[in-house]
Amino acid sequence: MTIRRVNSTGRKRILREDVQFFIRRDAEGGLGFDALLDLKDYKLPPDSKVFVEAYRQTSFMRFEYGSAAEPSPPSYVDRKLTEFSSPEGLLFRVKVTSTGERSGVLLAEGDRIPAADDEEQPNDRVPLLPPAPADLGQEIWRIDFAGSSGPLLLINKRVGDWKAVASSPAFRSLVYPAAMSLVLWTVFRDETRTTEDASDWRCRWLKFASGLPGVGDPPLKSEEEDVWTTWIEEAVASFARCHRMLDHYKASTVEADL
Amino acid sequence: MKLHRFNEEGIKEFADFLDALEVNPGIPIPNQLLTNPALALPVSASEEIQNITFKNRLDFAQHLDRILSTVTGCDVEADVGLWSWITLLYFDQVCPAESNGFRKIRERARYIPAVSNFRKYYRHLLAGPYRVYRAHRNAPETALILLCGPLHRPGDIVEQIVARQEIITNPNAVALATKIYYDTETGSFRRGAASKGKGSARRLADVMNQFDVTWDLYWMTSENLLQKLPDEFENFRSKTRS
Repeated sequence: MTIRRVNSTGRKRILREDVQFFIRRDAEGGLGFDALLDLKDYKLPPDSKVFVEAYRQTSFMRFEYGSAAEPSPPSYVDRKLTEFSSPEGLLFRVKVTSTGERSGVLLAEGDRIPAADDEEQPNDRVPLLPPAPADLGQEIWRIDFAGSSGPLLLINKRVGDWKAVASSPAFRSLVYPAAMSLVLWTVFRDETRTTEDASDWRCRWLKFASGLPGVGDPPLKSEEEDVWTTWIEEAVASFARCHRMLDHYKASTVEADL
Repeated sequence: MKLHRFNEEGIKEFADFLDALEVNPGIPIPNQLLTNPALALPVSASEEIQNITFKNRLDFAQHLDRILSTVTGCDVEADVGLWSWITLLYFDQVCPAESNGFRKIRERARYIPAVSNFRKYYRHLLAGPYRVYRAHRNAPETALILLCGPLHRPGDIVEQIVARQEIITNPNAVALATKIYYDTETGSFRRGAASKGKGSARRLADVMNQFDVTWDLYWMTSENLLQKLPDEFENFRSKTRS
């Protein structure tokens, strides 16, 4: 007796390329978001209402985003994601709803849209540590600094499904903080370290690390290892905190036992 | 007692107890694990929790929300060690002994939360009602259909509704379910609500699933939704008028 979902009202599907979400983190670690909505090609009634919904499991928030003719965000204070203590697994949905005769009819929807990190810019997404398969003998992973475009996270291709390994919570929580530390130490030892040239991978890594909560600017002028040790340790700790590495590791090991 | 969370070893010990219980359903509850410093650490210096008996899932969720609302620095809902520890504390209520003194263990995710598994995360017998309460804390009485049962037996209605993200997060949809299926006189489900037949909660979930394609369900009140339900719900709908 299961009902098949029938789109009998011709609801339009909003494409992911037309909506983008960016998580913001304030100084206290609270979350908020920005959205870029481009609905002009969907031929929606100008007075129809636009809503953005953020959700994860049983947590949910809904935000009014003006009309289809003029999508307009609420103030940043009203775009805070107060129901969410972390951005992991957070998804967004956009709905356009009729206000006319058939008030409440869903005219268009885009669902299950993940957020980009706030370090990323809408049209300028460069992964800091892209994974790649490699023959590493009995090693499981290694950082490759040979390329000019930045480090690669090599994963032993004989490990099985290397992509699944790279994205698994246990691997990420064990490897990424260590990999981050390794990369930042390599940047420290490089004479050309800078935070000015965004096309340089070292610059992108320093900006990424310094943008983490509680980390601050890198000690660019210092050559003392102790000073860098403190800064790098703070950056790695903050990174692990933001991504709840321990929690994810524990969850993955418990689920593996279930 | 101070509120604790199990570390990795503590979670494993608790899981070992559940395994042992399957083989020998009469073994005692290992309450000593709760305060073993090698297995459990206080969540903070201040939060206290008592082993009290709860009337139903709502009573528990309200009690725990008062305690957990003061916990900072962690994602409470996803904290496997915390929920495992709380489950052991209230084990007599989440897995009560039968008249012969034996306990019947059910799916593991009911006792140790599978927080990253979207098909199971809501099944935890304590984190489940806490999540529902948090999602509807502005008007928990409208979610009574999901919170009126005992801790150890949430019921099929809960499974049908909580498993659907679009329904469980929608106050109007949950209020509708409470309106048609909750019997205020008995404080429990109306007869037939948990069946697989016409007008049941299982059917409501299917119908809401279809409504969700056509309507913006967050825009509509529970009364709007009630009026739009097909005739098969008339038996329950008529009871909301009396």
